[in-house]
Amino acid sequence: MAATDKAKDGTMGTVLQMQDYSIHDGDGVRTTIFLAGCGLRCQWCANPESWTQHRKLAYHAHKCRGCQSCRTVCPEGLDPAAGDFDATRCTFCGDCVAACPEKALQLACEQMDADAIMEQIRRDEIFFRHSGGGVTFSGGEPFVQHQFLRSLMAGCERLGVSVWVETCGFFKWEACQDLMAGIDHIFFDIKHMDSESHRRFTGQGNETILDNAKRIHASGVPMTIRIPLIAEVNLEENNLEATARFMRDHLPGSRIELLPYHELGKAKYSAFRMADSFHSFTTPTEAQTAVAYSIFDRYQIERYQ
Amino acid sequence: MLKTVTGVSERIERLRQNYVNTKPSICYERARLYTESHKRTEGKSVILRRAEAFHDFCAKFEVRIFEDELIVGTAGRFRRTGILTPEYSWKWVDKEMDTFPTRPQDPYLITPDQCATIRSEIFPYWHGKSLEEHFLAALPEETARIAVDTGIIDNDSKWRQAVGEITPDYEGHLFVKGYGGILKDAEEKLAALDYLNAEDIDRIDFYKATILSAKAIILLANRYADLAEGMAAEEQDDARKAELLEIARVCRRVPEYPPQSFHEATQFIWFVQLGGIITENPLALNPGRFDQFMYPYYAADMDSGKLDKAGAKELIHALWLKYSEWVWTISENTTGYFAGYNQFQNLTVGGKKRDGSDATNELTYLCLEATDEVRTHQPGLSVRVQSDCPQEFLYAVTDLVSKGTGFPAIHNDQAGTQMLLQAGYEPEDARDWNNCGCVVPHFRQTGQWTSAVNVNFAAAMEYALNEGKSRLTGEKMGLDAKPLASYASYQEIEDATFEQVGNLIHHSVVSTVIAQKLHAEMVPRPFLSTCIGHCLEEGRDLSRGGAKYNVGPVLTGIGLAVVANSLAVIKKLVFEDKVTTLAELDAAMNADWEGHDALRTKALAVVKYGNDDDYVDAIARDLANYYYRKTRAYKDNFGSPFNSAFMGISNYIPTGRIVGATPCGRKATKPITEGVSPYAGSDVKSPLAAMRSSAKMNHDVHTGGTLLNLRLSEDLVSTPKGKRDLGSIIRAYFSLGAFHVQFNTLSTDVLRKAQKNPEDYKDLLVRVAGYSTQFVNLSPEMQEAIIARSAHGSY
Ligand code: SF4
Ligand code: SF4
Repeated sequence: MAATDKAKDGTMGTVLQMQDYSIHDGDGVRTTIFLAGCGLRCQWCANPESWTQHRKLAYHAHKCRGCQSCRTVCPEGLDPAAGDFDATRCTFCGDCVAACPEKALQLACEQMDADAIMEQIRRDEIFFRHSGGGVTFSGGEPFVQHQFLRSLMAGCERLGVSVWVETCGFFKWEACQDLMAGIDHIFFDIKHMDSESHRRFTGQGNETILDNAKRIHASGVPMTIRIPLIAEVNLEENNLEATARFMRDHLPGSRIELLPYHELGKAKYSAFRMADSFHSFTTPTEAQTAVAYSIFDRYQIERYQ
Repeated sequence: MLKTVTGVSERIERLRQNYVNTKPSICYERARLYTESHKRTEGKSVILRRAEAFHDFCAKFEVRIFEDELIVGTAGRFRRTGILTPEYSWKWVDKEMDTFPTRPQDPYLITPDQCATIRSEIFPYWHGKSLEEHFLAALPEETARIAVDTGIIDNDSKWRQAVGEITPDYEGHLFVKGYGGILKDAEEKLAALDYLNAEDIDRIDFYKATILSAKAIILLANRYADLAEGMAAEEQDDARKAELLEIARVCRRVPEYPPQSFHEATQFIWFVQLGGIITENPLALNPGRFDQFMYPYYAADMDSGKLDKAGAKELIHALWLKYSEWVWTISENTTGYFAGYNQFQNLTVGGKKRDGSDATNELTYLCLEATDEVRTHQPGLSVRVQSDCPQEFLYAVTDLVSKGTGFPAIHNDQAGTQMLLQAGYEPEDARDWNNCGCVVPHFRQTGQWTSAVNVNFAAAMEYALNEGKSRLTGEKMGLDAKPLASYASYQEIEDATFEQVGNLIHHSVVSTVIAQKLHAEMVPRPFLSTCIGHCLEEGRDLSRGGAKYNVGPVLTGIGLAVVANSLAVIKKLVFEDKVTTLAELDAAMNADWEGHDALRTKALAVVKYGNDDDYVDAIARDLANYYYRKTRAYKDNFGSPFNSAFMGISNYIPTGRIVGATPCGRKATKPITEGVSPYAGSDVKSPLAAMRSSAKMNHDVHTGGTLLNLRLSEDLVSTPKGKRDLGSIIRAYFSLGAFHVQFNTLSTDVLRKAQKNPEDYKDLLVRVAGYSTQFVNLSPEMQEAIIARSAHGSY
């Protein structure tokens, strides 16, 4: 079967990373599976390599010692350590990655077999069992590869492994509706209540997102709303009030988690030669975060954990 | 300014500052008094001579009580004293003492005057008389060349030192009888013996030695009581005066009589420890299950209102400081294996009772808290986690882990019991285990050499790959082996490697049984034999098999992961992928990889042990199984089979120094690996994968213990959820049958800062391997090795 067919029937997909021992992505000890592809372009994104599903070659300049092994082995005659590296000519054969003694090169967005992923989950399961953990699908936007997600979730169901999902909310409801029944909890991002601001910072308005939030809630999946808290974007009281009202009116029972902005993704922008897309924002202070939470407290919205 | 800690009284904080800021000093009083005594007792049986020497020390040593002390007694003139025991070995001291103050690892203060006195008045007597000299004379040449200060097989702590490795039986013996009772029993036994009965002659000497030893320790305690009374008479401060009078009262009672209060029991323990230190300068003289045998005294005093929690804590803190102040005097070679002024006094809490029910109690928690509060490197705090233990207990354990002290060592209760059953213990005794030294499961009525020999697996492999020779020196050290390029299959190489390991086991056994025989003849243990009831009943010394259980010596395998990783590289790159040849690999290793960068990159890319990949983990498992079978096939002088172990100590550094480059990509002389831990930095996936790899070794057969050290990024345990999750991970790991895990949770950042500003981080504890010690007390080389252990983080 050709890779494209496998992608269609969901037995293969594009995975950024599998991260075990995740303790901030739901109950217990979890294995978080980052699936590539996302329709938003948030300016603060910490995983910009997950925006698209095509393969990419990362170059971590701070590790490179200039030995030129990569250039020597490249069958296309490219120099992946060079500033003017032409990614359009790269076949992503990985020869340079294997040859680099400093681990300065890395392929991202690898195609993976659902079976291989399930094998890893099977190994981690002993830790889920003792901690009440499970698998969390994240991204990118995990609902983008819904066929792949569907087959992975079926595998989790067979193993009796709990499934949580982290979504930005921007996906086609009709294509994913059937998946809701198999999800134990959803972390759902609401980045801004004003559609114009939302479009300015993420490239899309928030209509689909807010609709999807209501639909998920109606389908009965427990939800936690997450806000990436960013001083320049969504910290003002009006916006937080509006979010809290929306939650009270449309998502009763859901909880809130505020995630203060961080710059840990910065290095990735240069490694993936995406420096042009990088924006710097301000991390809210602890006091600002506390004030933000107090707004949700006023609406009697419980905090996550 | 050194950070002060919370939760301790001002007095304890002063004692603690003294401990942290004082360099240990050598006191030769013990050696001088023992030497004078031995000159006087020439001709008597050795066990009597040793008991008399101990008695002389207790009668003549000028006892001291230091400011603020609640628990009293030192083995020398200083609070932080190291003593000399020339009857075991004086040669290394003679050779090394001038550089004691300046050596990089574990320096001791000693003045040139002291050195001169030691050389003129003490050592001459011991020429030709020490255990070391007899051992070296008795060791066959072919064993000596690989066993003496080589790093190939190493047991110098068994012929330059006493054995230690005992857990006094407080619960069933010492606290029941007191030394007055032991004295009486010995006198009765003695009265029933007859010189006309040939078998009785040794027993007569044994009981005479027991009587002398019991009298000696009672005398020592009473001399402390006299001193405390004298000091009280002069004391201006009323509070201290009352304390001194209480100290005097306590020392009059214990250890002569069974203790009647928590304070008395605590001082009793310290006098026993002191007796052990004075007689042997021992490693691994373990307090044992403190929360069990101390609980009745704690509960009674709490009930009667005699004691409150703060008072109990202060006594525990004082005892922890006592365990930490004295130093186990060791040679520079030995410091490579046991770095950090460590005395390996293991104190075990939690687990099951003898009847199988959960053993945790209030004292269990006080011990965990005390270790966090005083931040001393001793006692080595171990916990037993049993499946049905309270969740609060597990939380207290991971909470202590989160403090970054490296404590506690966390053990699987069931696996420990299984190990003791396998070693032949009765089920109730097997449930009543404590740790000996670092991770060895042990029981208080046992005589065993729990750390008999370190066996360097990487050296064995080197001999298989290099025609039986050391790659660094070219000297023939192993069995004959053919040139690397002429091996026809992977299996042949694996077999040859295992065979070389087998040869090292053989020489380890030879070296051990010779030492065992000499110990029984030359350095019997009259004082420590008083701590095990069975010796008293049988009239037989510990060194002659007097304990209830005489378990075979433990051979510790070092470098399991390096060998598995290296064999996996050969299997994959040479025989499967055929991207290199044995000849090329041989050349690369001879060149220490210089000029073979591409090949080294490929070698490093082959999957390494610790990532839950059966390709390489299976090789480690097969080697561990082979090691177990081979080791168990030998018997010691008491007819007990030898035992295998993969435990720590800091042995992976000196053993690495003598091994050339290895096929796994490691460079020459770099550290190898400890216990069942992955190679530093090669467990790239996660601690969970490392645990799964480790659990594949059949832990329960390695009755000498197994050890897994992992570094955890501190943010994984910084929240209550993180601590709960780590508890669950530990449960999961143990459900796979694994025995031990211990975590360092310090960030690399903190360690780097400590390297730069050691003054500010004097009390920073890190996990070395099987134990914790002050980071700043480690040599730069050791510090780098700690930092190199990969820190696992996730977000
Ligand atoms: S992945 Fe292959 S084609 Fe692309 S730069 Fe590296 S070696 Fe060249
Ligand atoms: S092989 Fe690695 S270290 Fe060498 S030049 Fe290329 S990227 Fe840099």
